[in-house]
Parts: sequence; C-alpha cells; structure tokens
Amino acid sequence: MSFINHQKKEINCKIVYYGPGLGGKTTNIQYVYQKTSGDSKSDIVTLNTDNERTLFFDFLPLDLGEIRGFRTRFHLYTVPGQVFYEASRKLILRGVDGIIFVADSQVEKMEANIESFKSLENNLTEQGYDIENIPLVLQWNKRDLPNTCPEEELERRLNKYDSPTFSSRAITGEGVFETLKMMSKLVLMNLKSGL
Amino acid sequence: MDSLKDNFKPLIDQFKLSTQHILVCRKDGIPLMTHNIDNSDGRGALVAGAWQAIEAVLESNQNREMRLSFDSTESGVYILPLDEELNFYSVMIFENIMNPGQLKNQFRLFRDELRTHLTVLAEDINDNKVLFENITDEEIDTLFSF
Repeated sequence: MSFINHQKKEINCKIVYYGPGLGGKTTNIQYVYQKTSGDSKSDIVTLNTDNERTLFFDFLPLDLGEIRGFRTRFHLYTVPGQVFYEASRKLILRGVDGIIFVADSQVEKMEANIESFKSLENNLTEQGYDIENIPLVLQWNKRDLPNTCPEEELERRLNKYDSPTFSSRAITGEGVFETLKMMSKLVLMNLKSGL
Repeated sequence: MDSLKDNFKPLIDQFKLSTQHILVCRKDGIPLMTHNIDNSDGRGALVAGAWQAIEAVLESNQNREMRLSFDSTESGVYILPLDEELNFYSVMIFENIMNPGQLKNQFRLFRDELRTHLTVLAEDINDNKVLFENITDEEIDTLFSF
C-alpha cells in the first residue's frame, strides 16, 4: 500500500524480505544499512530473540534520492524466518508493495525454501493479494558455500512466476543492491497515482 | 490530506497536548504527522506492528472504539484508531504525568476532532492511475547513488 503525496512530491513504499530461517534476510538489510550514508541513513529497528534471531521484524527506512521530482522512501522489512512465527509473517505482509524472496542455496535447505515459498503464496492469498500481480524478486543467497544447489534447480523448483532472480552473498554484499534495485524499479513502475 | 495536516498542530494546542509526543501513522507504519517525535519511521512501524499483533491475539476484527494502552501510573503509550476502517492510528507517548486518565481523555477528544478531517484523505487513496510509465536502469542507479 504505497503512499504518494503529490503536494510534497514524496513516495513511500513497503518492501518485505521473505524466506526461510537463517537464509540471510536480516543480513541483506544490515548490508544496506551499512552502505547508506548521510541523509539516507536512519536507525534500523530490530526485534530479536535472545539468540539474535528475528522475533517480529527488522525495519529499515531508506531515504533515497529523487525520481522525476519525487522524493522516494522505501520501508524495508524482514519477516522472522522460523516456522514458529507464521502469525508475524502474515501481519508484516499487510500493505506490502513488493517482496524479495531470499532463498538459501544450500542443498539441504531446498525443502525449507519450498515450504517458505508456499507460506508466502498462502499468506498473500489470505490477505487478498494476487502473487502474479505483485512485484516479486528472488535472490539465491549463500552462493559462496560449497554445498549449493545449481541455480537451474533453484529456478525450476522456486521460480514459479518467472520472476527476476539474482545470485548473492549477502554477508559480503554481493547481489544485495542488485536485488533491491530491481525490486525498486518494479515497485515504482507498479505505483498507482493516488494523492 | 491538507485538511488533516492543517488542523493537526492547532488541535494539539486546543486540547493542551503540546508537551506530549504524538504520532499519526498508517496501518503499514508510514508516519503522516508527528509532534515532538524523532525517528517517526521506526515508531510508526512498531505501533502498526503492535496494534496488529494484539488484533491477532484477539483473533477478531476490532472496531474503532478499541484502544491500546501500555503504561504505568505516570508514563506509557496510548494508541487509538483514527478511522472506522482502522487504516490510521493516532499515538500518544507520555512521561511523568500526574493524571494519565485525564490526559487520555484529552487525547480521545483530540482524536475525535482530528477524525472529522479524514474524509479527504480516505478519498485520495483510491486513485488507480499508474504514476510512472517507464523507469530506466540509469534512473534507478541515480536513485541509489548515496
């Protein structure tokens, strides 16, 4: 549910990082936070469990520059990846403008990826979204690890809607901004003009 | 939107709330108006999350008369829905108050008055035209040139 203020020339959009536990969602937005500077930088909000796992969400407001005269702000959220927190994931998807699905490339995580993607489909449907009409980008994370699935297999098993995909190593930042830029482009081109 | 914004500060003064911390945000956490609040983005996200989490705990769709209070006898946070559809929340954070009950009542009156200026905002959200026809990779690169 983007928010466009024509008088102030301002756009606000909500982007959610979704995916299985320990897949690298929080690492993605932590890298974005590290690399933003000056006026773009706001505090990152994290609600963690005692062992540093995401409890409710991570949140990073990102003040970007202008596009065609509109000041652009993205609100980046991650969902908790652990299966236990399904209710939280549903809440965080409310009002979403675009979704980055962060898959863990390790062979043994394939089932967790598939389960998480199904949960995304179900949660979007429950809230009245059509997954085929919402901007979606897939990120194959942890490509640096030795036991990764071939990208072709990740594509075949997870990319059901022919979404753009990116390889990444979120821990080093590789692929993080490429993914976010593609998502930003899709979201901005999907914006409705409201006030 | 203008009506809401134009009346925000005068209403805060009218209801003697100028020393409190006040935020109006959307249900997705995006702040619309603030008074005495820093980091309003983070606060908005947390308020929306807290309200919706409590709704989920209750497992029911609540009406606009619900309120969410997390407080001691002198300090806390008080959240009220601003509209019937629960698209907007009004939030007050207070500290070291002798009579929080009286203050909350003032805030409810403030919310009721602010609500009368919501009509324009609700109508404005329903425009379905696309804002940007095409966006180039160069424009996106420029957007991310921190």
